[in-house]
Amino acid sequence: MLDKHLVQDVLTAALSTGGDFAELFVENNAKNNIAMVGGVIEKALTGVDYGAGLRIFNGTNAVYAYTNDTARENLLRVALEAARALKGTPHVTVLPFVKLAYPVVHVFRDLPGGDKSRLAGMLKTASDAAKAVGPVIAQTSGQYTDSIQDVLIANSEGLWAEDRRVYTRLSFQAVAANETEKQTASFSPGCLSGLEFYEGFDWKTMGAQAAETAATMLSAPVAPSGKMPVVIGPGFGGVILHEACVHSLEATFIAKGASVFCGKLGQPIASEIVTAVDDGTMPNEWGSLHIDDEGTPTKRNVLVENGVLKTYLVDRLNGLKMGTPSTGSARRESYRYAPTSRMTNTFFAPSEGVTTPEDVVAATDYGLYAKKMGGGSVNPATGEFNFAVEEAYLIRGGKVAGPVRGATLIGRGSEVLMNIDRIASADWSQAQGMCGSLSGSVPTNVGQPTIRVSEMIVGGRG
Amino acid sequence: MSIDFNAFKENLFAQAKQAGFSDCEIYYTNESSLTVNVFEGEVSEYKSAGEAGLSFRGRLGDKMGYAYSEKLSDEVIPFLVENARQNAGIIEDEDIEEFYPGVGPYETPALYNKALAAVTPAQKIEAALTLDKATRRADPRVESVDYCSVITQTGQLFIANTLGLNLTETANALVSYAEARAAENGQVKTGFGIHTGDSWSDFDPAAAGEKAAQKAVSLLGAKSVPTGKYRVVIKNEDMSELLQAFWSVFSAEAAQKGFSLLKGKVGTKIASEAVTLRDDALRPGWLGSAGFDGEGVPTQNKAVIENGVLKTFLHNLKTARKDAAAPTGNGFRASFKSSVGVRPTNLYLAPGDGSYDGLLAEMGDGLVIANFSGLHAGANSTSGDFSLIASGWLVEKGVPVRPVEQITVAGNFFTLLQNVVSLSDDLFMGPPSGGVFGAPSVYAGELNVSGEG
Repeated sequence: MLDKHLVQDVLTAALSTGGDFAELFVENNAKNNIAMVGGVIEKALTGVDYGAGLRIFNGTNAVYAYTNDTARENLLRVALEAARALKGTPHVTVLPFVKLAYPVVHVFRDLPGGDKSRLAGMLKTASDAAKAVGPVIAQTSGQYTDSIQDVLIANSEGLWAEDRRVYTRLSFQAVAANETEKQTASFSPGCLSGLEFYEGFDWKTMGAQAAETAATMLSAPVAPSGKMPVVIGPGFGGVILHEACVHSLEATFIAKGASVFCGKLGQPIASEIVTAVDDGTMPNEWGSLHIDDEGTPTKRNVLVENGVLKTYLVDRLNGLKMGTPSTGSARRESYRYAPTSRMTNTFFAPSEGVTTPEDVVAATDYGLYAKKMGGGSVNPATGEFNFAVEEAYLIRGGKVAGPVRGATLIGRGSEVLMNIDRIASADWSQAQGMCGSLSGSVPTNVGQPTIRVSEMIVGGRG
Repeated sequence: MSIDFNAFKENLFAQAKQAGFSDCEIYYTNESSLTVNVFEGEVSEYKSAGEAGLSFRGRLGDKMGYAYSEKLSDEVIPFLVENARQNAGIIEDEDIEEFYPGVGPYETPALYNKALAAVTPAQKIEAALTLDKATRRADPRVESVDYCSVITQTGQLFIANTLGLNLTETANALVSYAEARAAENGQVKTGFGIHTGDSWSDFDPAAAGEKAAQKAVSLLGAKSVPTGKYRVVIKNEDMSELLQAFWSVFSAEAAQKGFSLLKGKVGTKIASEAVTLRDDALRPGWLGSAGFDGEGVPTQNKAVIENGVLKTFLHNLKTARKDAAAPTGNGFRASFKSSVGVRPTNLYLAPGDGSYDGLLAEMGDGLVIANFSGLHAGANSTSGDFSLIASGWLVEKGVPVRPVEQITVAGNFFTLLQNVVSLSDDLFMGPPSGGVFGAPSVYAGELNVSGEG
C-alpha cells in the first residue's frame, strides 16, 4: 500500500529522537452497512476507512500518532512531531525489510461489494417470517455488515507484513411484547469469510425460530431466584469465560498488576476438568487472523489446561514490561488505535470421552438451564458479573421442564472457573461478538460445549 | 487540506450528475487533536491524531444515497457515486430528505481561539503533569490519580451542494479531566473533575486537580440513609447528566417515531414555571456552538421550554417538513460516516439567581444527590423513568451534615420537570458528547430514595 522507501524514511524519522523501536500500520478498509427495522430498509451506508498509525517505543514508553493523509510530506511531519515527545539521540537504524511469509489458511471466494438488494433480501426474509408468527411479534430489526480490511505492518526491525481480512455478518432480533413485558430473541452469525459462508442459511426458518423463542419467553413464568446449579448451553454461553475470566488474562491488566490472575502461572485457577483456549488460527472464524496487528502470526494459546493457568495473552509492549514474548494477541479496531493484547476465538474445550448435553442435564435434580445467554456487564477489577439469559428453562428431576423469563446470572469469574463440574463433549460450538476494550472494538468468537456450574446465583423475579 | 477541495467537488458533482443524481452534496471534515495522559507523575500516553474524511450524498428520485471516504483522491469518486447510487436504490424509508440552498442569514459565533492554537506540546505536557501532581498532593487521603488527561482539538468543516450552499467553519477546544481515588478506613471514593473551554489562560490545572481530590475526599465516611421520600437537590453536574440521558424527548425525530411522550405538546405546560431550557448554538466558549448545522441550516439561540411551556422540538429539515414546522438548525451528523440526525448544540437549564447554599437553605432538610451511575441502563427515555445509584450528602436545616452512599434514586424525568422548585446560579456545562449539556443545581421537590432497611 505504501512504497518501501517511504516507510523506511518515516520509521527513520520516528527514531530520530532516541526511540528504540518504531512501527507503521497502514489500513484500507472498505465497509458496508445495511439496517432494517420492521422489514423496511432504513439505512444503507458504504465507505472507505483509510489511514496510518505510527508507534514509537523508548523502553516501555510509547508514543502514538495517526493520520489519514499518507502523502510523503505529511507522514514525515507526523513522524517528526510524534518523535518530539521523546528526548534523546538516534541510536537505532531501520533494518532492511523482509516480507513475512505465512501459510494462507483463510481463503475468500465471494467477496462482498456486489448486488446490495440480495443482502437486503436476506434481512427482509427473516423479518417477514418472524412477523408471520403472529401479532405478539411487536418489532423486528436487523443489520448486515461487511468489510474488506487490507493491512500493512512494517517496523524498524525489518518486518514487512501484509494481510487481507474479509468480514461478513448478519444479525437479527425479534421482539415479542405484551402490555407489560418485552422479550428479545436473536441470531447474529458472522465470519472471516466472503458471502459463500451464507450459502446454506435458511433465513426464513431462522427468523421464524427467533420469533417463536421470543414469544415462548414472553408467556413464560418468571425465573426463580437463589443459589442453584446452572447448566449453560453451547456457543454464546462462552461469553462468561470471555468477559469474566479471560479479560483478566490480558497483558494489558497483568502488566499493571491489576488482575486477580497476576502471579498465578502454573497454579490451578479452575476445576481439573477445565481447558480453555484462545485460538486465532481457526480457518475463516470470526475472531481469526493470519497475523495480529503487530505482524506476529496468530497461535493456538492454551490458557488453562486441566485447571492450571498456562499463559497470558501478550502483546509486544506489555510483553516488554513483563519480560514475556508476544503470543500473537495484539489487536486494534483500526489505525486510530495503538494495539494491545486482545482475544481471538476463546472457548472451553470439549471434554474427552462421550458426554452429551442430555447427560449434563440428567445429572441435575433441580436448577436452571441457560440455553442462550444475553448481554451483561462485568467489573474488570473484581471479575464480578451480571448476565441476562435470553432463553432459559427450569431443570426438574434431570429433565428440562418449562421456560422461565427474566433470569440473570450473577457471580465472579474466578469462582465460576472453580465450580465447573460437568463439560459435555458432543455439542461444542462458537458464537460471534464484538469485544470493546482499550484498542477499540474487534471481532471475537466465544465458545463452549454445554457446561454445568455447580452453584451460581440466579437473579429472577420469582 | 491535502486535496484541492474545489476541484475535487466539481469533479465529484459532475460524475454524480452523469450517474443520474438530481442534486448532491459534499460534507468534509478535517480534525486534529493531541492527547496527553499522565499516570504516577509520568506521561503514560502521548497521542497525536489527524482525521479527515468526506461524505457524499445525492438524491435519486425521492431517495437519498450516502457514501464516505477517508481516502481523498479523485480515484475514490467512482466508488462514492456508484455506492451512493446502490444505497439509494435499497432504501425504503418514505420520508423525504432535502438539501438546503444556503440562504441564511448566518450569525457567526467566535469558535476559533488563536491563543489556544499557539500552545505548544511541551506546555500541554507540563499542564498534565501539574494536574496529576496537584490532584495527588491535595490531600493525604488521595491514594492515586487513575485518569489525568489534557486534550486539545481543532476541526474544520466544509459543506457544499448543487443548490448553492457553500459553507466553512473552524473551531478549537480544550478538554481536561482528572479522577482522584481517596481511601480512609477501608472505604474508597473517587472524584472526577473536568474543565472544558476554548481558552488556555482560563485553564488552571492545579485548581482543577484540587477540585477533583476535594470531591473524592468529601465523600469519605459516607453511609446510607433509611429508605423513604426525601426532598432533594440534584448537583449541577448530575443534573446535566440527567438532561443528557433524556434529551431525546425533545427531538422531533424521536417524537415522530413515537419515542417521546412530549409528542403533540408544543405550546402546552410540561414543566414548572421555574424551568427554562435553552439550546444556544451561538455562545462563545461553549463547545457545542456552531454557526450552521450538518445540513447547512443556520443555528439559533432558542428556548425549548420557556417558563414551563414547551416551545419547540429540535428539528432537522426532514422532521421540520413532516411537522410543517421551521427547521431549528439541529440537523447534525455524528461524523462524515453518519447520515443526518437530530442533536442539540448547547442544551442547558437556565440558571436561577440564588447561590447553591441558598438552594440548600430553601430545601431545609433533605439530600444532595451527586455521582449518578448506571445512566446507560437505569434511564428509559421513552417512559421517562429512572432508577440510579448515587451518593451525596445529608442536609439538615440547609447545611450538609454528612456524606451519603449506596442509595438508589428513582423517579420520572417528566414528573421531575413539573416538580422543580428552584435552580441556583452554578451553571455547569459538560463535555461534548453528541451536543453539550448543562444545568445548575436544582431543588427538585421530593424523590423516592432506597437506602438501608
